[in-house]
Amino acid sequence: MNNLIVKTEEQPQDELQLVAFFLQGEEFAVDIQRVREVLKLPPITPLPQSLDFIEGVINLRGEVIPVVDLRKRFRLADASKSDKARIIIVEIEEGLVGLIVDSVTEVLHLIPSAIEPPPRRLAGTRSEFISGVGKLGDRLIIILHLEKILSTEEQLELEHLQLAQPERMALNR
Amino acid sequence: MDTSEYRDLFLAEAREYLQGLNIALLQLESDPANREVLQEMFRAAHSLKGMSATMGYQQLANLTHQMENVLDFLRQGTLRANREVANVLFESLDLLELLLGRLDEPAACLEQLDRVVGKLRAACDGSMEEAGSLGNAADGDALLLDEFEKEMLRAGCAGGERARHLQVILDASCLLKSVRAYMVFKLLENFGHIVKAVPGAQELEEEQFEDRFQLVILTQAADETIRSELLQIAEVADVFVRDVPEMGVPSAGLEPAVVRQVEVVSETAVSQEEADGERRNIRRAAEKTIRVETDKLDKLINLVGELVVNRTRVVELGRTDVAAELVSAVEQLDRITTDLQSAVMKLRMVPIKQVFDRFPRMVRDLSQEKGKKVNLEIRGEETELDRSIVNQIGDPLVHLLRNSVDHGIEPPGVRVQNGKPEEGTIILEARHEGSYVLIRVSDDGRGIATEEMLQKAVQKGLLSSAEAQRISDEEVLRLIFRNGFSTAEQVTDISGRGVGMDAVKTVIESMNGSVEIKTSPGEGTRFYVRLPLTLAIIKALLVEVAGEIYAIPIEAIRENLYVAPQDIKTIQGEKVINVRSEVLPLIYLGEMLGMKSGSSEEILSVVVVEAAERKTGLVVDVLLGQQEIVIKSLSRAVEGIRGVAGATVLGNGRVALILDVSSLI
Repeated sequence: MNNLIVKTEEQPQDELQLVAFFLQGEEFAVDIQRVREVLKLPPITPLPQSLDFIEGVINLRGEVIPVVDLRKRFRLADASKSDKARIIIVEIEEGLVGLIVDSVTEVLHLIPSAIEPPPRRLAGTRSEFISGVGKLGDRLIIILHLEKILSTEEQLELEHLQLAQPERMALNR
Repeated sequence: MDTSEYRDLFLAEAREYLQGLNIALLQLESDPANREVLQEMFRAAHSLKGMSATMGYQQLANLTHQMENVLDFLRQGTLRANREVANVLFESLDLLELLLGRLDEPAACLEQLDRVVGKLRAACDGSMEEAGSLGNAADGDALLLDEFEKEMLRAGCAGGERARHLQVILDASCLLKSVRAYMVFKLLENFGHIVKAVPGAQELEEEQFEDRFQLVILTQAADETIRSELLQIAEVADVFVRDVPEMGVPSAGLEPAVVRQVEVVSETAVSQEEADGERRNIRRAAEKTIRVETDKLDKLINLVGELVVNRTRVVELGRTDVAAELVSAVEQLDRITTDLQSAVMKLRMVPIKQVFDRFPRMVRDLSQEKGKKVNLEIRGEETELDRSIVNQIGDPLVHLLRNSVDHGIEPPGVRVQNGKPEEGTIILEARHEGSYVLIRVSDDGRGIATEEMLQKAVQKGLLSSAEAQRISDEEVLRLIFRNGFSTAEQVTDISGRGVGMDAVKTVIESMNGSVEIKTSPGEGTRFYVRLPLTLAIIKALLVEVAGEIYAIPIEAIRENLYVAPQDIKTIQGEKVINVRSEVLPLIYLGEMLGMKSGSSEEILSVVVVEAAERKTGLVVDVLLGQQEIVIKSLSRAVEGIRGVAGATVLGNGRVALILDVSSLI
């Protein structure tokens, strides 16, 4: 136990911890500060007449939480969900939201200098959803910009026009 | 001292005292001789003064100080609780409320404050006059002189001295009260001698008094001299000098002094026991409760809800296992969780008294203004309801009561002509009825003439004359709740503007409640407001559509039907069914919700729902049964979906959506 604490103290103050997950073979990550917990897929109740990427709602210890299918959100090929599929519960401005991913792998440590601004398009994912790309050895990790996850396409288009170049150097915290 | 963090606490407590004072004052109006009430009012005003001074709210402290003085005179019997005094006190309470609402603007309402304080002072002065002119009539039993003291006074008077009764009031912030009292004693020895002190010298020395004491002295000095000398002493706020009641010379030969009578609309004659109960309530509320943040409560309730859901799972599992030990343990768990849930839900329940307490005052003011005599009877104020419902039900009830005073109760003259008692009666009653609370507002006024209403409705184009022919009396009455309908000949500022009654209905329905009206011309009108005990739990019918379970609030459901395909007709491309000569449009819930329609059953299950006076048949796949469900709000991220009012967690832990009938049809 003591060792662990000492180790933490030795780490640089600004090091980022991220929860890494896979989505169609690509490696993604979200800031661990935003992650409430990771669940196996519970039964999901579909929400009629909602946005297409909203898979439905789940019961998280009595709280009803919407769940977003990230594959649908990023317009990736729909695949049947395997045993490894997980829901990452994250906190965004609107409250708690679940993100369905193919699998959750590990907790990563990244120093800010290893993070580069997002290229305009990457892995078919729109740059609005990306706050940066982390480099760890020869791995490239796409770091998600959570605030835009629930925005509609129209809202995104509008912002795209207003903000000529995406300037999201800093990780959103 | 930074007192800002106590501000909310202060406000809540001050409002409680204010409410208590309002009630007590109403009681006093009907029973001016009730000393107990006066005593309680005095204490409430005193506490308010102390609180305000501590918090640094000078205006409030000033106002309550003057109120306290008036109440003190009332309590001692040197001032009579006549109508003017009562009105001044009511005015002070109103101002107090105003000031409480504007704590952050110290300069607000200064003019009003001056005026009211002036009136209060004038009332005190009135007391002096009255005390002077009435002599014995003012029975100051707070000041009982024994024979020895009376003898001393008589001897003194014979020796050319005068017996004076002094009341000395110290500053509320006075720290060394006994020292000030001592200084007063010392000073008075220069003028004459002290015959009696109330409280006694011992208590004064031990500071066992609030902020005032009374003295009886024998002196030759003029009242004004004594007063001004005493006021020189620091922290002496006020001094009143008057005759000693028992030594006052009865004006022989004159008629017994006529005490101005209280001539206000009296509340229900309150029996002594009730009055005793009431007076304690001023303080009781604060002592019996603790304040808890609602967020914390909601969290607790949520967790208990979750516990209940898990209990259901364990109970299910227990049934499949044969181990008798487990079965009994599970049963025990079942009982405990059920009790725990009901206990926790009760945390949210508050007595409806909170709302009802406002009404006697409102009805009093309103009936005075309208020149009507109204007796408001309140029953069942201890009935408990969910906090959020209690918060919302106030305005609709205000409207119903105003309606009764304004339109229902006739002017006294008319009532007498019709052989009714001059004073009208409005009964406001709350009681439990199953899982609902029924609130009844009934008056013995003129009732509603349905003929007139019908004419009005046709005039205003709400109905065609053909429709008017067919419509039943009950339906006519329901027109009252339609937007733009008002029968009042005269538009008053109170009611009759045609807005309001529809708002009443909207508010009540938004809480899953209902409102009904019954009337008998010449005898009165009754409104029945039915409300769920809690907003958090409702009864719902569970139905299955396309493999998913949905909950429909029972309140919206009229009946369930099984319909054979040949009974479905088509009118202009719309599918309808005929239920007892009523044509209802059919909505296929599955299609409506954009789900794949599941059922291939021959016979359709139809739930007949009603919202906003419109009935519709909802076609579902399976009717699953009725159940109590806990309402959970949908996350902000996905709110505002048409047709969905919220969600609930079922016994198996899955989420089911609650349908919002009014937006579906």
